[in-house]
Amino acid sequence: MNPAAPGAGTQTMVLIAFLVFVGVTLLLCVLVGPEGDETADFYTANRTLTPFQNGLALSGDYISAATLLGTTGIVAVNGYDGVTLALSTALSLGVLLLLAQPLRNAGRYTLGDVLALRADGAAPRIAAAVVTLAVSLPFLVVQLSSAGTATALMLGLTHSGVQQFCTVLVGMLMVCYTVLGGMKGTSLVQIVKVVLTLGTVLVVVLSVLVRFHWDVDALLAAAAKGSGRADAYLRPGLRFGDSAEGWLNFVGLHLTVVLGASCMPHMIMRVNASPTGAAARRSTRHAVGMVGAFCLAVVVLGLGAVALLGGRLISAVDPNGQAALLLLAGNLQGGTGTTAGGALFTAVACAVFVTVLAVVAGITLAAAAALAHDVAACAVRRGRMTQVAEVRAVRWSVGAVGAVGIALAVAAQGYNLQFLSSLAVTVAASAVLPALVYSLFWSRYNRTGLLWTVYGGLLTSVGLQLFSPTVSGAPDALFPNVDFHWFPLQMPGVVSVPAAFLLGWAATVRSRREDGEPGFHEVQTRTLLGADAE
Amino acid sequence: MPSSPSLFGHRSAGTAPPGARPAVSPRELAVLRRRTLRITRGFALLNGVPFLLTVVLACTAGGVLGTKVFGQFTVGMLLGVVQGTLLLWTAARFDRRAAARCDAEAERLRAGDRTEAR
Repeated sequence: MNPAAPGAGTQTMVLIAFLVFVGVTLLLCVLVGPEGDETADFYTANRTLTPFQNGLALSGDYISAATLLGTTGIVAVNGYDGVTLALSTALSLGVLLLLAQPLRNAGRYTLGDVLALRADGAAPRIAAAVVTLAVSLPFLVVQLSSAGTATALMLGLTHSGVQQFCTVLVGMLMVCYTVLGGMKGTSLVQIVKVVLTLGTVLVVVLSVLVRFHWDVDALLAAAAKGSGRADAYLRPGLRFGDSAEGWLNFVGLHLTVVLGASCMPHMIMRVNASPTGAAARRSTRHAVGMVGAFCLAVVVLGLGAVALLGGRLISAVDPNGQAALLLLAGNLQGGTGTTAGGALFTAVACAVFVTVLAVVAGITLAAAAALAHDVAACAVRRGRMTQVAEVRAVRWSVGAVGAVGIALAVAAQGYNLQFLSSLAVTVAASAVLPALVYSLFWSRYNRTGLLWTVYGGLLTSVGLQLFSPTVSGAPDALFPNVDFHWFPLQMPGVVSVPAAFLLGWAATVRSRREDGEPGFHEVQTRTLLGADAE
Repeated sequence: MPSSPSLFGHRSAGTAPPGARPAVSPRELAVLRRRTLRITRGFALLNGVPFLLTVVLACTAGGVLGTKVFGQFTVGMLLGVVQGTLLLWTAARFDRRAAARCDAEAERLRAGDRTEAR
C-alpha cells in the first residue's frame, strides 16, 4: 500500500469534500460568469477587481502544484538548495512588480497586445501566440498529469487507468470553469484557492511547529538528522552536485525561476485585469506579501516532512519528493485514523486539488485568448471581428486547448514529466521576458529585433532542453532508455536567457526602423501615463 | 450593457485610464521617466545584489554558507531570511514611493495640466 494513501474513512471524506467543492465552485462560476458577449468582460472581468482581489487572484495564478508539491518536496529532499528555490520563487514576483505598471499601461488583454506596441501587423501577434502556447501547453500537461496522479492517490487509488480517468475529469472541469466563467469565474476560483491553500498551509505549519515545541532550531536539527545527510543538508550542493556542471545548473535554475516564473502569459493576462497601471502595481505588491508568506510556509513544510518522516521514506514514494506534503499531512494530528488527522488530510487534499484546478484554468484562458484574440481577431481578421464572434472563438479555443492538454497528459501518464515545468519557465524567461523588457524600455527596439528575441529565445530554450539530460540519457529522463543528449545542463536558462537578449539586441542594431513602427515617445506616453490603454 | 451585480464590484469612473492621448512634451515625459527609474533602480539593487551574492557564494564558497552561526542556523539560512525580509520591505516601499512621486505626476500629465509639479 502506498504510504501517502489515507484510510478508507478519510478517502470518503476526501471524495465528499471534492464533490462539494466542485459543485459549489461551478455554481459560483455560472453565477458570476460573463453576462453578455463582451471581450473585456470575458478576458478581464471588465477590470472590476479591486487591487486586493486581483492581488489574491495573482497569487492564485502564481502558486501552482509545482510550487505547492514540487518545492515542498525539493526542500525535503535537497535541504538548503530547496530553501533557495523557495526564495527565488518569491523573488520572481519582485520582477513582476517592476513590470506590472508599464505592462498594464501598455497592454490590453494578452501578451500579443504588449508586443504589438513596437510593430504593427500580424507577425508580432503570431509570435506572441506561438510563445504563449509554447509556455502554456507544457505547463498545462504537467499540471494535468500531476492532478490525475495526486487526485487518484488522495482517493487511495494508484492504478494507471484511474489516474488517467482523474486527469480527464480534472481537465473537463478546467474547461467548464473557463468556458462558463471567463476571467470572472477563474478569478473567483483563484481567490477561493488562495484563501483555502494559505489557510490550510498555515494550519499544517502550526501543527509542525507545535510538534517541535516552537523550537525552529530543533526542527532544523531533526531535518538534518532525518535527511541522513547531517550537516550537508543545510549546505548548498545537494541538488545538482559539487561540480562545474552542477553549479551551472544551480545558476540556470535560479536565473530561470527569478526571470521566468512571473512572466508567464497567464500572469500577464492577470496583470491586464487591473483597472489602471497603479492598481496593477498595488496588486502585485499584495501578491509579493502573500507568495512570500506561502514560500516561507513551504520551507517549514519541507523541513517538517523530512524531520518527522525521514528522507528515505519521502524519496521512496517519489524521488522528487512530490508526495512529501501529503505524507506529512497524513502523519500530523495523530494520523488519518483520528478525526483531527483525517480532517487535516482532507483539507490538504482539497488545497492540492483546488491549486491544480485553478492554475490550469488560468493557463487555458491565456492560451485560448492568444488563439482567439491575437491570431483570429488581430492577425487573421485584422481587427474586423465582432466582440460576439471573438467571445465565441475564445470559448471554442478553450475547448481545443483543453482537449489537446488532456490528450497529451493522458498519453504521457507514467512518464517523468517534471522537466516540462522547467521548460515552460525557461521559455518564459528566454522568450517572453527579454521581449517585454526591450518592448517597454528600449528606444531603438523594432520589429526585426522583436521577432529575433521571441523566436530566438524560444528555439534556443526548446532546442537545448530537448538535447539535455532531462529528456534522454539519464535514469530520471523522459526517455531513460535512449540517449541523444549532447547539452550537458538540465537547466538551459543560463545559455538561452543571455542568448535571447543578445539576439534581440544584435537584430535591432543591424536592422532599420520600418515605416509605420511607432516612435518611442508614443510608446513611453503609453507605458508611463497609461494613455490610450483600454 | 449594465454590468451584473458583480462579486467584484463596479468599475468607478475615476479609476479608468483616459482613452484620449494627451499631448505631452518629451521633456515632461523624461522627467517622469527619471523619477520612475530612480525608484525602480533602488528596488532592483536592494534585491538583485543579495540574490547574486547568494548564488555566487553558493557556487564558489558553499562552505561559508553552511557555517553555523547559532544552533543549526547557517550563514545561508540567515542570508535567506534577510533577503525575504528585504523583498517584503522594498516591495511596500516601492509601491509607496511610486504612488507618491509618480502617480500624481502621471495623472497631471494625463489631464493635460501644464503647471510644473513641485
